Amino acid sequence: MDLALAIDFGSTFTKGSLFDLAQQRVVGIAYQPSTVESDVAIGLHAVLARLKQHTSHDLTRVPARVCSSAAGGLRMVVVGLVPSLSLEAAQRAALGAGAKIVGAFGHKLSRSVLSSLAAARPDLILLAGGIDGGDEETILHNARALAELGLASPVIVAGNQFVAEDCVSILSRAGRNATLAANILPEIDRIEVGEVHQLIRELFVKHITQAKGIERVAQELNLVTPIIPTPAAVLRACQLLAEGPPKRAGLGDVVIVDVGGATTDVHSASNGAPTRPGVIRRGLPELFLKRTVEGDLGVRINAMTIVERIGADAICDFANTLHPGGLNADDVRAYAERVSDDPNHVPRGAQEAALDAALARSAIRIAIQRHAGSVKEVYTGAGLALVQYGKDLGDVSTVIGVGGVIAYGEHGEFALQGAVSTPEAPVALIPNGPKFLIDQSYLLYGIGLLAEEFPDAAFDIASKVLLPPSSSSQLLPPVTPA
Amino acid sequence: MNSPESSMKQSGEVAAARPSGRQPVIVLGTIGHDAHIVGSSVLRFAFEEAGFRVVFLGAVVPPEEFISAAKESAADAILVSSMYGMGRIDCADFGDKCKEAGLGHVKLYLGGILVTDPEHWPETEALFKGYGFDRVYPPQTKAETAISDLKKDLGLSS
Repeated sequence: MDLALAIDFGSTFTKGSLFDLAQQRVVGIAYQPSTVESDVAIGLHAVLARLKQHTSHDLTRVPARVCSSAAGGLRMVVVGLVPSLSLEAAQRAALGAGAKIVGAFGHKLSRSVLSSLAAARPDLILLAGGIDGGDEETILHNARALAELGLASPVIVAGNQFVAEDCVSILSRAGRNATLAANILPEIDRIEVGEVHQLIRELFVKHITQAKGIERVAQELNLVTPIIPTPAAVLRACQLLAEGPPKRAGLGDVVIVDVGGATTDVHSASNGAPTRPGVIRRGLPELFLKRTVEGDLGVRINAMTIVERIGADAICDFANTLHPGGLNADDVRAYAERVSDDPNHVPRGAQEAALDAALARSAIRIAIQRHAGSVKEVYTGAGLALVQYGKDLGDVSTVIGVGGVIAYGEHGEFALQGAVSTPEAPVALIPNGPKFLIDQSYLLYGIGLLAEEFPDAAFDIASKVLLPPSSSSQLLPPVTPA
Repeated sequence: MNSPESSMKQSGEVAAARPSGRQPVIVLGTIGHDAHIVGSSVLRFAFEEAGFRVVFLGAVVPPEEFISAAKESAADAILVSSMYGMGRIDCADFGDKCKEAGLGHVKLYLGGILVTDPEHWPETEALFKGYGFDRVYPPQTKAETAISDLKKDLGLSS
């Protein structure tokens, strides 16, 4: 056996999975409620004890790879100049590195903005602004403002290279930890995130996992790679599934939707090229790997927001297709209110299962529309033209669903239908006819942790554990926390 | 957008003409629902050759994108091309929008086939200058004219 251990210190659960790389299979999985608030070691020990049931090996010696989103994850503030340009580029860079954006501020930081920034308690600040040779004034102003602010958070400076070093000096002289990176927006139509991602990964290990006690606990394991943020692991899995291991075909463009209680995350591995002829692309260029986090969409804490965005009647119609007749808009509102007050609510009976799936489908619909691009028709002097902003995800081959409501609910496929285009909304460039897979056992993080070193094994394991919704032969039993 | 050697040399000369030593930056594109890109492409290469840093936006560019790009690049000038006769609609409040965005100091140039009515150039020019443009050019204007005007307007030549 060629064993590999993957651990995710999540915000609600500490998860562990043990893989046999030689046979490309999952040996065991275990979950424990997260103990980050008290002692992160307790949850880890419990997970290891459960995994131990599956193997005679000493798990502390098995090569381990770890990701973490615990203790608030990687909380980042991004600062830029123009909201649709350097600030947007900074947000994409941070999200793509697996961060949770706790503040995004454009233009010169005012006093009131600075106090919101400090109140957001970021682990890390990304300071951008100006293309190379472009605006200097704003990023210099913002560097001075951040230098004066009594915050210990490290700062990555990734703006106009003509003054970026000056910004680092201003911050360093004030005793701040500041690091220089290549401009994330060197030209108006080019985003460069490679160096920023590298630095975020390094600072994540050096400062954030240490500060949160995760680094210390991970030392009990045979840690063979640096700890990365959990969303970064999921993005790696997304990329591997889309592209395939070296010399093998992948699935083609892939979208992962993760519906949680508070947020709905969408990941895409796709260059988003137009799927229709004669399209003019505008706006910032898109990265192949893209992650968006919808902080207002979740099927528990934010259930009421979904009702506000989509309307109780529409959600009711969805629910009634699963549970014919019985429900009205008031039922939808009452259920949404109830689950937002009780985020641990587990649906009971067919009616609640239908309502849960309808909420999830609605959350997915809004989240994928925000993630994907849009197209509009314009009548030019040369005739009709289509102008596309953002990614065209029309040709996405596979949509993978993650999250309790999809994995354990009865209507996972129905919920995932929210990601598919309908004739009523032709301007949203969302998938036309994808196939669905469900991450029933929460293993995407593990696949992502193995993806770079063992792409073949990780890909083969993924093809065994990601199951079509109709699949009745589950390889692994549904997971329930111990 | 690699500049050829001659452009590098020129850019040094042009930049050296300014107290800051900073290469002058222009934002350039075709405004509105106008897909014509040849004219602005020609201008792009001519301005690069003349030593300017060109932030090229292409065709079908909403006015707001010129303004955003000019802010991010701290542009010295915005050059707007309009070739489909709808200049009035696209440009009517362009100068005001720039002022509102804090770009009152940025030179605004406009050129192309600006109106569809039979052309009375002095009226057309006055109309668009009223919209806030510093210089307005009729069709067939040579790139050199605009380059020479801009150098003058930016104090890069006498």
